[in-house]
Formats: sequence, C-alpha cells, structure tokens
Amino acid sequence: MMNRLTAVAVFMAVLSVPAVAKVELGDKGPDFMLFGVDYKYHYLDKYQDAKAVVLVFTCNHCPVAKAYQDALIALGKKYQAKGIQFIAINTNPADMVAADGFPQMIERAKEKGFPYPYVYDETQQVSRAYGATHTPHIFVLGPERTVVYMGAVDNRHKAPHYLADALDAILAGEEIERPVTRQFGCTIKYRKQAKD
Amino acid sequence: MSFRPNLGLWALPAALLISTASCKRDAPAPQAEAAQAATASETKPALQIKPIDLEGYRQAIRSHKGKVVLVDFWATWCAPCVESFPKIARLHRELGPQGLVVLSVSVDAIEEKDGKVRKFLQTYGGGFETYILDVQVFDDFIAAVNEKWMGQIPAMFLYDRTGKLRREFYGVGEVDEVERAIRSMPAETP
Repeated sequence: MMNRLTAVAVFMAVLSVPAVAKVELGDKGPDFMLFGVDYKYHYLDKYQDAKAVVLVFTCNHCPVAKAYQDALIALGKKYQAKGIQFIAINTNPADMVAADGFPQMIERAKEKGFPYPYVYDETQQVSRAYGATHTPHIFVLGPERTVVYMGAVDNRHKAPHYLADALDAILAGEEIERPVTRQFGCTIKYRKQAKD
Repeated sequence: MSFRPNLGLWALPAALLISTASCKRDAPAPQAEAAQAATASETKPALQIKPIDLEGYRQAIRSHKGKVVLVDFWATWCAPCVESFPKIARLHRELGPQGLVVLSVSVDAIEEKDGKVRKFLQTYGGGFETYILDVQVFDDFIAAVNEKWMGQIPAMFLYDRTGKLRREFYGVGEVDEVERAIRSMPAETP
C-alpha cells in the first residue's frame, strides 16, 4: 500500500514540477530569433564569431534581476571586449507582468545603458527551451555553442564569482570548475499551456 | 387626528431588535475574534526569527518526524511570496491540528533579520516556526536541500512523516496544489 502511494506521489511530482533545466550540459543551445530594444532581431548565427555567448534570462521587475544589472553590465563590457557576446532575454511578457512589457524594456536598456542586446521572449518559448526557472538565470554557450555553464552570476554579490570564473576558463581553454550553480531569484511566470 | 406611536405595534419589532443585538454581543463577530487574537499575540514574546544553516535545516525537518512538514522559502523582496503568505498561514491554521507543521524560511540577507524581515512578519506573520538563512555559499545550500531546485522562490517543499522530501512546488499559483498534496499524504507514519 505504501509503495503504491509512493509511486503515485512520485508520478504526481513528476507531472507537477514545472520546467526545470531542459538543456543539459553539453547540449546544443537551442537557437532563437528574438526582437530587441534596438528594433533588430537577434539569433545565434548573428554572433557566430563570438568565442562564447552568454544568455541572461532576466526581466525588468524582479528585485534580484535589478540588483544584478550593474554587475552584468560590468561583466558584459569586460568580456565583450574579449570576444564573448552577452544577450539579455526578457522572460516575462507583459500579460504576465505588466512592468515587463516591451516599452519598459526599451526604457530600462536606455536608462542603464545596456552594452548588449535586450530581447523579448514574448512567447516564452526560448525560456522554456532552455528551462530557465527564475531571473536572473544564466546559460553560457561555449565555442561549439553547447551549454557549458548554467545558473548563477555569483554567490549573492560575493565570491565565488561563478560566471566570471566560467568565462575566464573558456578564454583560457580550461575546464569550468563549477558548471552548474544556483542562486535565489524570482520564479519565472510562465503562461499556462494546454500541456502544463 | 394625531399620530401617536402605537407602542403595542412596535413592541414586537423592538423586542426582536433588542434580542438580536444582544445575540451579537454574545457570539463575537469575526472582527471581534480577530481583534482578540491580535491582542493575545501582542502579549506573546517577541517573534523568533532563527538564523539557520544546512545542518540546522536538516535538524528542523528531523525534529518534526511523525508530522507532515511544509517548508516555505520566501523573501520580502518577492511579491509572489508575499501573496502566498496568507494562504500558507491558512494551511497552518486549518491543517496544523491534523499533523501539518509549517517551517517558514526567509532568504533575505541575514543583515535584514531585525529590520525588513521582522517588520514584514509583524504584519504578515502566520504564527509558524520562522527562520532566516545564514550560510556562506548559497549554491551549496540550495543544492543540498533539493538538487532539482535552482533557487527560484517562492519554493515550497513537502516532507512526509519520515522526513523524506516528497513534493516540490514553485510559484504562488501552486499553493492550491500544495494543499491537495498535503491532504493526500498518508495519515499514519509507515
């Protein structure tokens, strides 16, 4: 009786767990074509010459995402000068969070002076494909555009600086010591879908 | 013709009015009950917000073996967490007598314990065991609690009566699901 209940509980748990990381380390990063605040489309091939691509799943409203804006701008400037491309992706469309709409994105990018594209994942398909769970959530695609790092920017604004360490390792051709890390952030508000 | 009030005609409605008014005084209205409860909690000792690390977390779960344990990870900066709070408090009130324990863990910065966090709980507190995370490396803590958890909050974890993690829920929309899951947990410790 207990075993059957356990089985049912586990089955239900599997059904009820929302999108946790869909991509695994080593998977090819799903491609995308997203519209940015620069009024241009952005896709992986656009950055085929980059040594790596850093996807920052973020949004306008989340206090943690906002707290990381400056750090990410600094990292963006530093590593884009070394050939690594950053792309910020807004995961919350306006119908889920009014403050995360496209006009607000344009405002925010302008106000903060984002040195990288800020694109709108309006259908949330890209966020789902990567399995982004919260903001900010980082996915780094290495030279082969496979996922080499996923997770946190750092240890809540202190060392270890996971993302910087991962990017330094990529530039040095070394293995990334901690390829999966976690940090607290705002759960992404995914729209309910028929298959949820 | 003068209109003299017919006292006889008014006697019955008046009597009813008076009697129902006193009924109200005898059976406290919900507002009165809430006010009494608030007064009672004001006289309790100051709210305990205990710093907790991984070992403390594990001990807290272990200490409630025999009960179903719901852990709610939240932060004052997390709007959906604030939204969930009254729902979690209701679960604590309604299902506590049936063996549910709610552990509330704030992931606000530890420096905020007696400022923002205490202030928040004084308004929203649900009367359950309250903790604040105090660790050096957050990645280690999150991974150790639940490897599948990437750190998103609100996060609610349900432990069975043996202290084993059974269910995980993320987001304020999941609280109804949490309630269903709690109610379907086995009633007896195996």
